[in-house]
This record gives sequence, structure tokens and C-alpha cells, in this order.
Amino acid sequence: MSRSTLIGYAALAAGLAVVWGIEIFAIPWTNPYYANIAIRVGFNLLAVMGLALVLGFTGQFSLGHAGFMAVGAYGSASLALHAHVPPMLAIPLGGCMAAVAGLAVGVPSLRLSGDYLAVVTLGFNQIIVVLVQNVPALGGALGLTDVPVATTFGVTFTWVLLGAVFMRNLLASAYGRTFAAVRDNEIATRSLGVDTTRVKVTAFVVGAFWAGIAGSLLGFYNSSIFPKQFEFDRSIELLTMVVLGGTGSLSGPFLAAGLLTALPEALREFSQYRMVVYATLLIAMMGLRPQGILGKHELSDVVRGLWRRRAVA
Amino acid sequence: MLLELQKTGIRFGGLRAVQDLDLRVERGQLYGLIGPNGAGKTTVFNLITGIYTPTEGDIRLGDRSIVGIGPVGVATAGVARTFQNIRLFGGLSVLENVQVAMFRHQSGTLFESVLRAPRFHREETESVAAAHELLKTFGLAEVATLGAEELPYGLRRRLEIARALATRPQLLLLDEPAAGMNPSEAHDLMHLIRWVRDTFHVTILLIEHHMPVVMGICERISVLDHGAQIAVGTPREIRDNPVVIEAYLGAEVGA
Repeated sequence: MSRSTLIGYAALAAGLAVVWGIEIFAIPWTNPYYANIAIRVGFNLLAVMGLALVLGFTGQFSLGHAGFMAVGAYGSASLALHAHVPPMLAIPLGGCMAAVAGLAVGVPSLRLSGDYLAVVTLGFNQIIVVLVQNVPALGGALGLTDVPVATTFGVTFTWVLLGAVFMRNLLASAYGRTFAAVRDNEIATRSLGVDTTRVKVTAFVVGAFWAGIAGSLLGFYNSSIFPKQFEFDRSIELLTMVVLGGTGSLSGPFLAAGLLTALPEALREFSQYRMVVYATLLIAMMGLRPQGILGKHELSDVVRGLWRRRAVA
Repeated sequence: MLLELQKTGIRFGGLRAVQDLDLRVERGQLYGLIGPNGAGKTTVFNLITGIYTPTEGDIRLGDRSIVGIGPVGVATAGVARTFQNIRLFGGLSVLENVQVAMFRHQSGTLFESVLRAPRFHREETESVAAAHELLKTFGLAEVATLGAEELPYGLRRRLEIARALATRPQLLLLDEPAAGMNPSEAHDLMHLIRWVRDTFHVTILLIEHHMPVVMGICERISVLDHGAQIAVGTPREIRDNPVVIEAYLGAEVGA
């Protein structure tokens, strides 16, 4: 095993130790309100990184990411309620179900591009919502209740860490290069013998998997899920996080997901103006920094850049 | 015979962009395709590489037909190309541009990449070394870590050729490689193309407007006009052919 791999695994282990350290020693003494915000930030980190892969790195405009969260949430909750699958197993299975949904939507639709793909994925999102609203076994408009509670801070951020390492390693690999190649020039990518439809479907399936994990965790956190949680506006929220954070960056959307989840809480007193602030923020970004907070860069690049500047000064 | 177009043609609605084209390129040959603007040269490239499917005739590579197998299929069969308007991956570095072209020869799975399995490291090391080697022969080693978009124009053309060669093709199609170059750059490029053919043992079919380049390096030339082949032969035969001169300069008034 190479040195960089060892360091990577060691970093992951250290991260997990920190997460469970917080879980055991800090969370019991933390105001549940803040713990709740942190956990919901975690859900959004998981959901947004899949979309960052699909939209930011592969350049495919998907408007249905919340649909995959719904598949994961309803799939895993049903497994736990009806088949008594333990939640810790149901969570990854929910991710797998979302991945299968990603494959089913991706194979026929990823031959399309741009606006057409956006319309198809938007349609998928709507179909999923209408479907769960009308299937009695899934609770209809009221949703599923009495889902066992299993999601904690530690569980959530264990998945976030696994997801972040998964994404980082995937992007810094031969597969990662093909995603960027498809985004930059699809015709040239094909001329090099790379099956671009396959690349796009791969991005879609991976993105759907992590959205499914986010949905599953959500269900086991609230103990209930209902269709309204996964409507189109949720997809738009995730899209906003990617665009705001920077398309072609992973830590950028992470940063934006953190901000856009925590900020509405800070603005709760002015909740009637929340959407105004949201919109103003986006318009200001479009004008001042259309590439997003980090553009194509990662946080580590920024830190390294600051360090170098300090060393020079 | 490596590449053979047999009575190949394509219609876009009522327009016959290419018609009745017979083209035979021998293995190892350096073959030129010339003709006035709009003659259908790039369309021929798009037909060969599977971007368009011919409405008439057949295209054969070696002993099999490559009609209908699509761009990925054609590339996998061993045909690489460059583009008239350069198509690099702007968000990737020079080195990574070449590495993308090696993807189809790599067998590591997605999970091996994510888990950083031994095969991932082996293939990554191999592809970096091979890409570096290729960049060095093209004089691009010093700029390997730069973004492809930061390269000056001439180097971008070189990178696109290097990237195409990284797929290890039997046939290389160059679409106006000397476009936008001054005479001295075009001269260098001419030597580079001949050197590529000799070093990589690849057959080259090129579209070019710079007559010194075409006449200087091509062993055989086809001339297209209005989608049809009006002449084929050695550079000398083409130069003296009255039909070709007429296509380029127009007929003499009253002649």
C-alpha cells in the first residue's frame, strides 16, 4: 500500500475518532437545538455532494436530486417498518435503491443534454412525489410515521466522512478525469474512445446513492417522512448550494450547504424576510462572483494559497 | 489497405454534402485531403469517425465496416482525430488531457479507485509516466501541469495531436493542423507530422489549406469540390491538374 493511501486511511480514522468523540463527550451537553442544526447540515452535505458530482464536475443539469432522496427515505423506512431490517443496514440499502433509481432514470435520459435533461429529471422528481402521495402502503400525503429513530450526530457524520472520502478519491482518479472531460467537451471525449453516456450514468448513479443515504438518514432522524419534504423546491435548494459554492468544487458546495442550512436558523426571527435574503444573496453572487464562492477550487487550495502568501510576506 | 471509403455519401435533407466518394488510404501512408471552403472535407472526417452515418456507401477500416458503430466504436477500432476548432479539456491540466485518452486502455474499476487499491496506483503511475513521455516528445513536458486553456495556440495544436496519439491509433485524422499558424510554425508542424508518422507507425489522413504543408509531406492527395472528388494523385499530379486549378481559382473568363 502506498504512503498516500496510508495517510488517507489514517485521516479517515482520525476523522471518525473526532466524530465519535463529539458524539460521546460533547453532544450530551450540547443544546439539542444546535445539535439538530449540525445534523441537518450533515444531511445536506451528503445530498449536495452527489449533485456537485453530476452538475459541477460532469456538467449535467439535474433538477430532480430530491427525488433520489425520496427513494432512499421511503425505501429504507419501508424496509425498517415492514421487514424489520435494522436501520444501520437499511440506510445503505436505501442508498442502493436510490442508485438503482438513478440507473433507471439515467440510462434513457442521459443521451439528452442541457435543458432536455433538466426537464426529464424535473419530471422524475414530480413522478416520485405523486407516486408516494398515492400509494397507501407509503402513507399517502401523510407519509410514514413511527419510523425507528436511529440517526444521531455520530451516524450522520460517519456517512458524511465516508462520502467525502469516496468523492475525493473518485474525483482524483481516471474516472474523475472522464467526468471533467465530459463536462468540458463531450465530442472530444467520445473521439478518445470514452463512452460518455456511461460516464454520465456513472455520475448519476453515484450521486443518487449519496442522495439516497441523505434521505434514509432523514427518515431515521425525524421518525417520520412525508412527500412534501422531497418536492421540487428541495431540488432547487440543493442546486443553489452547488451553484453558490462553485461548480467544479467539492468543498465549495459543502461550504454553501453549511451556510444555507445554518443561515435560515440565524435569520429565524426575520423569517418572513428569509426568502428575500436568499434571493438577494444569489443575485449578489451572480453579479460579483458568478463562478461561486470557490469556483473550481477546493478549500485546501485556498488555505495553501494563503499560507504561501504569508510565507512570502 | 487501411481505410477505404466505397461510394460513400451523405445527404442532409436535399443537400448532398458528400457524394460518391471513393478513397483508399494505404497503411503507413500520409494522405492529404484538400479542397475549397465548404467542399465537404470535415464532413468526410465526421463520416469516418462516426459522428455522421453515411446515407450511401460503406467505410471500411482494415477488413471490417465501421459504419454505424458510433464515435466511441470508431475510436476503439483505432481511429483518433484532432478538430478544426481545437477541442481540449479546459478544466484539466495538459498532463490530464493526455491521461483521459489512456482511459480506454485502463481496467481498474470505480471501487478500486475509491478504495485506492493496488491496481489503481499501478495504473495511475503507468499513465502518468506514459503521458509524460509523450509530452516530452512533443516539447510539452515543461507545461505539463498548466491548465490546457493557458497554453498558447501553437502548443494547443500540439497537445491535441499528442492526446490523439495517446489512444494508440492505427489511423490519425488531422483537421487543419496548421490553421492559424505563420509560415515558420507551419513548417515546423510539417516536420512534426512526418516525424509522428515515422515514430508511431501510424497512418495519417489530413485536411489542410496550407499548400506548402500538403505538397511537402503528403504522398497522395484527394481534392474535393462540392462534396465530390475531382482529382486524386501525387502532389505533382495534383499541382498540374487543370480541374484542380479551376476549382481553386475559377475558370478563365470566356475560356
